[in-house]
Amino acid sequence: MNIQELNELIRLHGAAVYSFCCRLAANRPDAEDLYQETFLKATELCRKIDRYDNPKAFLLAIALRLWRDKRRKFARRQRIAPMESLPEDGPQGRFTGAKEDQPEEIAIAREQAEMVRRAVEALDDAHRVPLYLYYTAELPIEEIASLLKLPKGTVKSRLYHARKAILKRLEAADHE
Amino acid sequence: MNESDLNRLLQQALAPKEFPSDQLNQTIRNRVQEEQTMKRFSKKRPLAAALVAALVLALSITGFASWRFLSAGEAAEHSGMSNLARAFESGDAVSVNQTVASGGYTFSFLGIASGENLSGFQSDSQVNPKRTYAVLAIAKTDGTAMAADGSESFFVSPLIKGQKPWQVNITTMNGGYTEFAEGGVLYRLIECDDIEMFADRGLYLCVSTSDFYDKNAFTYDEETGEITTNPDYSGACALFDLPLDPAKADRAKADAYLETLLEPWEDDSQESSGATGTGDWADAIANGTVVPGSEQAVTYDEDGMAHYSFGGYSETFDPELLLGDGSLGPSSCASLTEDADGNPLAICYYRNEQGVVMGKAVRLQEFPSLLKEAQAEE
Repeated sequence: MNIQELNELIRLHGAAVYSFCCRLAANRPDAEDLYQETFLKATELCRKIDRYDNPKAFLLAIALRLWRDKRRKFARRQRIAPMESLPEDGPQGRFTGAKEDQPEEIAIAREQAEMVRRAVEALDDAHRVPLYLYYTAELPIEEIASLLKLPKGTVKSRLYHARKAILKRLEAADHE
Repeated sequence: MNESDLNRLLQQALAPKEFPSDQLNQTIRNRVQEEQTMKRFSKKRPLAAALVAALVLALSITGFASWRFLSAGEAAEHSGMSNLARAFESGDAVSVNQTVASGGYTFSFLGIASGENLSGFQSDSQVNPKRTYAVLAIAKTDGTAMAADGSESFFVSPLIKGQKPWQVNITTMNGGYTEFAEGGVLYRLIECDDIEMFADRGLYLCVSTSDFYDKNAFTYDEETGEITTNPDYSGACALFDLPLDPAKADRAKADAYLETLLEPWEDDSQESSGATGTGDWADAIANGTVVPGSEQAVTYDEDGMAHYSFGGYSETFDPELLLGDGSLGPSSCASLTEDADGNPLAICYYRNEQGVVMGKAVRLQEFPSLLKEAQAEE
């Protein structure tokens, strides 16, 4: 892989891979390490990746494998500081009803999003990782199944169960 | 909050909002450039590529006059791996020197070094006795010079007889390669996890003109485990036998390695260990009783989300996510709730022969054991 190909990979998939690394590693320095190691590993493998060979899934698979290998290093309990934050202009989804001129609504929406992220982090890896691949890396279910070496139905099942667990947790929090 | 709201909330909370800094990306570029500068040499010798090609053409799948190419050791030296070079030149490494012509290329397998034979050369990180190293030379039969600029793709990998080559190859065996052009010949030095432990099963070195393992280039016989080249392949491909000493095989170690390599990344055993596991639901549901009147078609909202309600229970879900896009039969999971008397009810969904998504409540004889544990924890 030459530098031009590397630049193209970063341009096309850098944000998705970086966001995925952020979700897995949960603090900025570890996420940056993981992101950097992912691209270095990709070039080390020296496979010529072109856009038709699904380089995004290839990079995500490398990131996931590196993360699994270095789980202790990226242990979540060693979190230095949470990195997640919503954009300053607030969320746009209709679920919140938040408007830019309603700071209170924006604050509630931020809190809600943070609760969701915490609920996701509380899941075991078998359910959390497919969620990140689906929502953060925005991979279709078929590619998630291929990447995780799981049947497509199992991925769907895990996504479903993960969402149920999150819903249950959020509803429990509402009642507190 | 319904399923649709939750979906949007998840999208909002988990969507990719993080961007790598320019500085971080530049660090990657710098490191890659440094490593490539260290590893790649493109010294041009005056030897004419045409001469090499012409001489190689005179040979087929036989041995060749090794003086025409760099030796495996010289190739390693050229790649800046002097200790590996010494290992290749030692008596323990296997010098192969076979050439195969295919699809306009000649592939020459120069040599292989593996396992404990390397332990005496491990003075730095270049050589790892837990790895296998091999060198292949690639030339064009028409005499055109090869370049190490990535413009032509080759997949070079060890393969194991009896193992599906698309599952067990250099990619899955933590492999990589370095290559350089010399005198119009491309030399590729590959490395991967030590394959010596498979020496009694039959080993191959494959090469094809593809980025990844190409099923069209090789044929795998499921019964015998034999791998052969496909003569109808549109590109170039070749297969060499890897002559490792069968006495150095370690079947137990090899089996353990394959078990790790082939296991799904997310072990299905985790399915029943987490709070969201399905555990023994299937049995409990199979032994349960459908509550009369509960079996009914779901309704849909404007976003295509399915809605089911019965008694005091209601649920909204994505039917495609739960049941797939059009497949008939039951979903692989169900929801658990209680009736008014506190008895366990499973809410199950399926798509009937008319393609209608149906829901039903199944009264269970008892809470599945895993859920009892979860309830106890709560």
